[in-house]
Amino acid sequence: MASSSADSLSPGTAPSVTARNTYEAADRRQTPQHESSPADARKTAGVVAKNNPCKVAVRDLNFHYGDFHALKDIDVDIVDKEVTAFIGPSGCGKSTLLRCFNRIFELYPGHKASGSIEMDGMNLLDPGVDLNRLRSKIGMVFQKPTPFPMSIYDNIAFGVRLYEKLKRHEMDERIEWSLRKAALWDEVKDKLRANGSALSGGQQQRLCIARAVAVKPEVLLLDEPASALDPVATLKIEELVHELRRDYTIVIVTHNMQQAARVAGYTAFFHLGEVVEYGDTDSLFTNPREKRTEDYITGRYG
Amino acid sequence: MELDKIGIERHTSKQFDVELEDIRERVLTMGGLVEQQIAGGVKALVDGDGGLGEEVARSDYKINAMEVAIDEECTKILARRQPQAGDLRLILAIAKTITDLERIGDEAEKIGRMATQLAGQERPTSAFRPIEALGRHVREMVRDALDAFARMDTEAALAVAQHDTEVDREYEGVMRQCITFMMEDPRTIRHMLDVMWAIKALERIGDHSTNIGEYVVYFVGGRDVRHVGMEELEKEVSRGQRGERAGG
Repeated sequence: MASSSADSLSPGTAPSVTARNTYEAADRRQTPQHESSPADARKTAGVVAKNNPCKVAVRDLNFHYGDFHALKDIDVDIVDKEVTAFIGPSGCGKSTLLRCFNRIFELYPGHKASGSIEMDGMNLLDPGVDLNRLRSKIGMVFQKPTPFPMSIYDNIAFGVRLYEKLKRHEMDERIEWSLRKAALWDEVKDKLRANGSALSGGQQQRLCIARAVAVKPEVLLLDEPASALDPVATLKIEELVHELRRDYTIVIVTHNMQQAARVAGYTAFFHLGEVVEYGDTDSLFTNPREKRTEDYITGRYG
Repeated sequence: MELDKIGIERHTSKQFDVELEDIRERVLTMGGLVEQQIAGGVKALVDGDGGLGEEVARSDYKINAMEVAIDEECTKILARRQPQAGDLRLILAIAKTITDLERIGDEAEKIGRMATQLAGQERPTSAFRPIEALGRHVREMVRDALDAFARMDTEAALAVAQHDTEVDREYEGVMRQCITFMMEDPRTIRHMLDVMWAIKALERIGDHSTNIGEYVVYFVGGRDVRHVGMEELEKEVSRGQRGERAGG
């Protein structure tokens, strides 16, 4: 399934970005005298050398909350099997964009997205798209742990039953598999019938990740997945994100810039509904191209 | 104004501004002390002033102590503030700058010690005039490097590197002259070898100043220009001048 998606979306393209001075970086790459120098090769290495295919391509995306224009002409490529972080101050549009990917914003009236979000050659914003299928392909985990009021086992089985008919032992296997993926299995294997809300906050959040993983999505959207957790649980979630990166394309929204720097391969900085800068995380945090990015990540915002 | 220009001010955390400004000032103070040490060492050498030479050699501990203190401050900032982007590059540039300043201090100490050793001996005065000139040039380099650091001025940093090429040439000239002295009168060889140590120390100081200039270029543009050659360095500096950061 993953390979077909790569074919339809020009494999091998580096993420394209609206930020103005990406062009400057591109120019620099083409200048032969700079290519010969090891220092410059290192600087652009992240974007060029990783050379992963694009999984989700956002084009000319505009989003309105009623009259409020929350996202303005967004162009972003989400790289396949990578972690992409969205950072930016509150109200900058990063969560809004995340919510466009699985169209969860449609739950609210007056919210309108235009433009295109392409995945596997299909525009996700197309009204003809089957939302159930879409959300089984693009899973989401929210800021606050949201276990269903049922057993740990059923929390995970619930989603799976919506999409697949599994035999009893197949379901058992799937539950174990997803709990292992979420690094929770060892802690809950003896109490799968216990209520999900009896777990600690960090465990609940990992249960939610297990639930999202269980339906075998291709893309995982994480909206501030660790902001309500203590440092140890946070690190566990980050470790998990790092592990999951091998099998899934992950987009994570976070207010914690160090977290973005730790877990993401690519980072996009949002401000006032625009993507100010998007590039590989190493460059963005050591030598951002845009003054606004620099001011934000060094704590000079506002 | 100046601070704003080099961009270490205006953090939401005012305390962070204070910390960065403090550490930057301490580097400049350390640099001032290092300059003084070079001046003292060269003067002691040229004038044959053993007492002054000894004092220079004895004073190096102050520079060492400053390096340790500033290094500790850098570590604290890294641990507590997790600086990013320009702030991170500033701390890295400072940590490297003080290492080079400390080495310059060591060279000055060496010159002081040589001066003390040579003070008691009979000496051909004409041999010391070129040393005085070389010492002056090297001291200028250190001052210019510190000045480039204070203003984070890449053009000034480039000028230091260019100056170093001249100083290297001057150094070779002085060396040749020493060799001539030794050939003319082999009895001076022992003496001249000590002089040559001191000259070599001066030449090294020039190299360290160039390094400091390179850290300035790194801080400003994020590009590591060590070991890239003069041509690349010039290109990087002119690129930075042309393409000031957008929105800056």
